[in-house]
Amino acid sequence: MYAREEAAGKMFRIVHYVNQFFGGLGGEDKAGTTAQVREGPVGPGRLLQQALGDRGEVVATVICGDDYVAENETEAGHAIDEALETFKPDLVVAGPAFDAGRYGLGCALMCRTAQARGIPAVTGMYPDNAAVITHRRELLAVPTGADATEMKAAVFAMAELGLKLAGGEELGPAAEEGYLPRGVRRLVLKDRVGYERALDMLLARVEGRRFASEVQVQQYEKVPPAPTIDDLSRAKIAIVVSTGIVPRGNPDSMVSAFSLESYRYSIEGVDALEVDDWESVHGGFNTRILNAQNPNYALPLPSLRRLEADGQIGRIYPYFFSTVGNGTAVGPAREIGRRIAEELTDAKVDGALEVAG
Amino acid sequence: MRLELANYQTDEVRLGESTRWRKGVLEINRDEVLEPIQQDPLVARIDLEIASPGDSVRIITVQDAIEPRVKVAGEGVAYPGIHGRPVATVGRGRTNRLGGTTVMACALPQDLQGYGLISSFRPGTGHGDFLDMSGPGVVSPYASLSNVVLVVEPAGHLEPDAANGVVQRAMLAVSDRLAETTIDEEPTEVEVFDTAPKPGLPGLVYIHSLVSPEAATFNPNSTLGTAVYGITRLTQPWLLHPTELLDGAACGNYSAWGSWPLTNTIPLHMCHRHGVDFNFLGAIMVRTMWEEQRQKELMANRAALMATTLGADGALVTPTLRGQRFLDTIAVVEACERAGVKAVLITEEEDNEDGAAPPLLVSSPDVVAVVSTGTGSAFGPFPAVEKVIGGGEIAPEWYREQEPTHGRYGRSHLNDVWGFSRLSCVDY
Amino acid sequence: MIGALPAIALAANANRVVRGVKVQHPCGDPNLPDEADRALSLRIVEAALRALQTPVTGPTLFEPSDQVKEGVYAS
Repeated sequence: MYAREEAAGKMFRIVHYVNQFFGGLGGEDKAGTTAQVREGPVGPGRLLQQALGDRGEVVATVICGDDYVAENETEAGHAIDEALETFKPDLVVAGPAFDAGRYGLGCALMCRTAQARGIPAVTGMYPDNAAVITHRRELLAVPTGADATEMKAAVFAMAELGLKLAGGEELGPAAEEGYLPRGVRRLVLKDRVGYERALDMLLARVEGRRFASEVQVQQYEKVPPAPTIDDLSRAKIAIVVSTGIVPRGNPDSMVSAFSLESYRYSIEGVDALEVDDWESVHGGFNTRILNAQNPNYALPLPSLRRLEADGQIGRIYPYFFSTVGNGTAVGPAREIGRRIAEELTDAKVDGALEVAG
Repeated sequence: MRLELANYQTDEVRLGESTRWRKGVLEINRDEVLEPIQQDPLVARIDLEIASPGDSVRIITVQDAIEPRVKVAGEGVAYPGIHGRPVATVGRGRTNRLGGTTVMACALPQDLQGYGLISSFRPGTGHGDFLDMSGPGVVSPYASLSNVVLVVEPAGHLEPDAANGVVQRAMLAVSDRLAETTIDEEPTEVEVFDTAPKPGLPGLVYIHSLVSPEAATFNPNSTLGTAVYGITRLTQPWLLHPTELLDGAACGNYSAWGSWPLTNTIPLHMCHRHGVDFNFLGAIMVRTMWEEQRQKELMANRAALMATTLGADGALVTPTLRGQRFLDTIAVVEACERAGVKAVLITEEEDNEDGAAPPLLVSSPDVVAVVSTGTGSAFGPFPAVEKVIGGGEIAPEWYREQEPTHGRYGRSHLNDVWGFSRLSCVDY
Repeated sequence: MIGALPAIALAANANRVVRGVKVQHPCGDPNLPDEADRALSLRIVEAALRALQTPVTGPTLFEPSDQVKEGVYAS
């Protein structure tokens, strides 16, 4: 019924998302409000309409209670999806949520649901909003202050960015276009060579002037620590190595770098790795000591067998898992770990001892 | 120290009847230049070709590249200490250079399996890296230089370290011979570098990381790395005066696309700005690939102590990549910051894996100022070429169009630890 | 995880990290006499088992002890 027209000169259809407060339904007492849909703009949606002018029309507003959307993601998602099906917008705008965490999650759900339908979506949030931290890669968000004092500026910025998206424009870098970095880095050509930029940055630092690092410190994902093993004497312990230990001759042709998988080998009845029977194929360091003298330096089997015999640990899992860490990318490494963890969980292994290479 | 650097800027290199430099043109009599090297029984074969900017030429198996330089006044020789050359301290007097050229040594890479080192080369990427003299590959600085390419085949019976030495000596011999053509000629320009500090300016040091091959080969005298006055072993940091670097005190390659940046990028640029907007107090060469965390920290502590002893306010730090050798450089940045020397790190980033991987292998709260030179990628694809220069049998694939890097598992076009290109990464 | 370069493991958010000896031989030292080498390997593995029994809240480095401990782990 609402066919899409060519981008040039057309008025875009926008659906806006707000929470119960900005939707005028009430405060915390109404945080459980289920998804409501109104025709036209509501609350800050009017500012949004103003910003759009004759380039866009806010045809509908979806209002969800902050608690409702946080606790009923699937149900809320369905309601949002239905609204999008009814109104068929060219663009979705959510919030701005500023620093409100649950509101941010609601905006994130709105945006993700729209994007799943191929509808571009834009939101606005404070950079430390929990939703940004959780959904960074999926959200296109204008950075805002922590509270609603700059509502107008935020809404106007969201409108401009949204119109670009609706018009099918490709977005430039985050810093230029004014959106929060999504964790993706792309190759560009700068105006000057690196060492000139570096010396300017260094002089700025030394002279106490402002500077902008070209790389922000970014963390690997955090993993909650596994709980402790209460009774080691009854525990089943498995061995995992990224030191590239394989049977002599490397029967599975394990690569020496840039690994994509791991292999498992039996150590049933083996008390120590013998040089004749095992080797390391790791390409990232000199393996002469391991391969000519003692592979157990990369997989401490004798020590583990001793502790097993003394009753300090219950049992060593009869297989060890082997790969190389040399140049292996994060994605493949995560997948290798997941598969190993799956087998160990099925086998009711209590702990794993890893040797890094 | 005071050094006069006389530049004989060279716009064209060609083969000819004599070996001489006149008005920006370097002419080379190929047979005459190669003859003394061909006499060496350790050299099985040597060829010389010229690759000029804009040529439809691809160069593979590059082992090293240096700019021909010769000292005409002052102690010592250009590229001192390496392969038995005099160890007298350089950086003073007068040095002639053939700006705009390199002597580039190509040879099949050595198989280091006998030393206990298994290759990390990825199948399907050939030897790995290549240099194109035209097309998108010109992001490499070598594409704007006239490269006198030597294809060297060491005698078959030599073990890898010795074979590598043969390649290096051939490169030095040709470099010396070509640099000699500047003697008695008028230079294009003479720059005078006086490292005496000027009052009222902030003091900066340059801290550069050099991989030591000692850990990988178990040989403290290995030629398979960058030497400082001929020494490649894992030592504590070296302190060099800036002009020593301009005389080639650090020379030798370790998968870093050549020695040329050591004389022509950061050290030269910082010397130009010395006394203008900062004082270039000194260059600290640190060795990387220490095998133990404590050893990395010790090296970093000594480097930071050198910087503070010189009175540095700031340090420009460059790394060696990839893998654990990057930790040595991060340790240096941390030690400097904790000692009160503000640091800026120039580095390539790890492949982003579409947002799944952080830009640096490791980082820390002390690493606050970083310049990114990209990921080693360049915008491709790289068109088919008419000519390929390199060691060994050249596979026909090399003549065809080449794919750009596909993340961590692809090839690296640039090992830009210097910031010599304009490539970088930005957040999307 | 036993590693000669704890900095990488800790940066990657490995929660229980034990310091190994060197990259080329993380779980021992060929420069030591055999008995001392075996004792060192045991101390490194014991540190790993100690880590499995220690509650942690984030990446934590465990150092192998100076002495081999006897009968500590059976509860």
